[in-house]
Amino acid sequence: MHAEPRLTSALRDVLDPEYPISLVDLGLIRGAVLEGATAKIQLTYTCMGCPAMDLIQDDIRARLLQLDEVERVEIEVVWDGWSRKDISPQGLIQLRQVGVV
Amino acid sequence: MSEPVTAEIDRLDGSLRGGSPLANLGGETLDALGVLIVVLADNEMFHGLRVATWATGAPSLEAAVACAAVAQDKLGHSRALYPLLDELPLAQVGPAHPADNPRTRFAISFFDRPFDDWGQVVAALALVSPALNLLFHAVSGSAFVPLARRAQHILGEERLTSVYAEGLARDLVAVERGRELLQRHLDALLPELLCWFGPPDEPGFAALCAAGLIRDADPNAPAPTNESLRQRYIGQIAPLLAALGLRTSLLWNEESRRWSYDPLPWSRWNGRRRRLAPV
Repeated sequence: MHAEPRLTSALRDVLDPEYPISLVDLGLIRGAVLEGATAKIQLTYTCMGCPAMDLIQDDIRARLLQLDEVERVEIEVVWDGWSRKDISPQGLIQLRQVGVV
Repeated sequence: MSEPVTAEIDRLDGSLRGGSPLANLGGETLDALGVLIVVLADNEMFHGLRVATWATGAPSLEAAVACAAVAQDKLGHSRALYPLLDELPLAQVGPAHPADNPRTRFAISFFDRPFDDWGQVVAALALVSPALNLLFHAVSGSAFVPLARRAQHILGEERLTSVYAEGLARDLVAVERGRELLQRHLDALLPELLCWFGPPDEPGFAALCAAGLIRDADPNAPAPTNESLRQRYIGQIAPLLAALGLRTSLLWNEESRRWSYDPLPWSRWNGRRRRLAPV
């Protein structure tokens, strides 16, 4: 995954709407690069029927636009496969704490 | 939600209308690709809608929850597939075709009306989903990468649904009335589902295979044909139907290594919309 640390760090503030885990730790962010003033994000979802797709994208835009160097955000839904193996060790701990995994 | 799938194509194949394999395809092949996508999307959408109505009427609380989850999945699949149509240059599908109108459906006729009984839910999950999944497998390595990725994602989500559907079917036939109900729906559905893979050597299907647009992600998988997909479908469902004690005309011929079946009603078959006309 191509990911710029500053973008990834900001995206750690964006939580999944259902569980207290960031999109990064949940494994949904598949790319995050800055081209000029445009943040280009590659995103996947846990399932295609996710009712919070638009909400998640709105949250990503809102957080990244708080960065001084970001003027635009382009989000590409790549539909890479997702499984619980994509959850980070930190994310697994967080989910265990709320009784999910 | 509009997804910039063009970017995916651009990254892998160069400019969509410049160096992309899609740009060099003839109108007939692009049209066939568009129809393939809308057929998959419409069937997923109507399947989801029909199952959703049973989320408040299923025979058990667990089944009701499952109906809600399955409907959410299938509607999500259609939601991810429809935007692909916007990415096809020259695609003339849906209302743009002279034979179609804005209310044209590319879903099987079994989904035309809301399901009146639980047996229809079970029949759709146990019989229609495997047919669709075979086609998703067939495009899981498609040169049209956005379609391939969606197909792989859908197949991942369908694994549990398939297992659950088989369980529902076994539960239903445990009582004679349930078996009769499922038999009735099987009799109505099977000819349409066997037709759904298309007549042998269908030109549009062959063009899509030749262009790599229908291609399995498994490099060892043989190139599909209309008949090979139909045979694989029968090979999947026939053992289950036999175990359920349901009657069909499906017979395995050891000598030819093929399944035989009753003559299919091609005179009622709409090849473009992939559905049977009413009797």
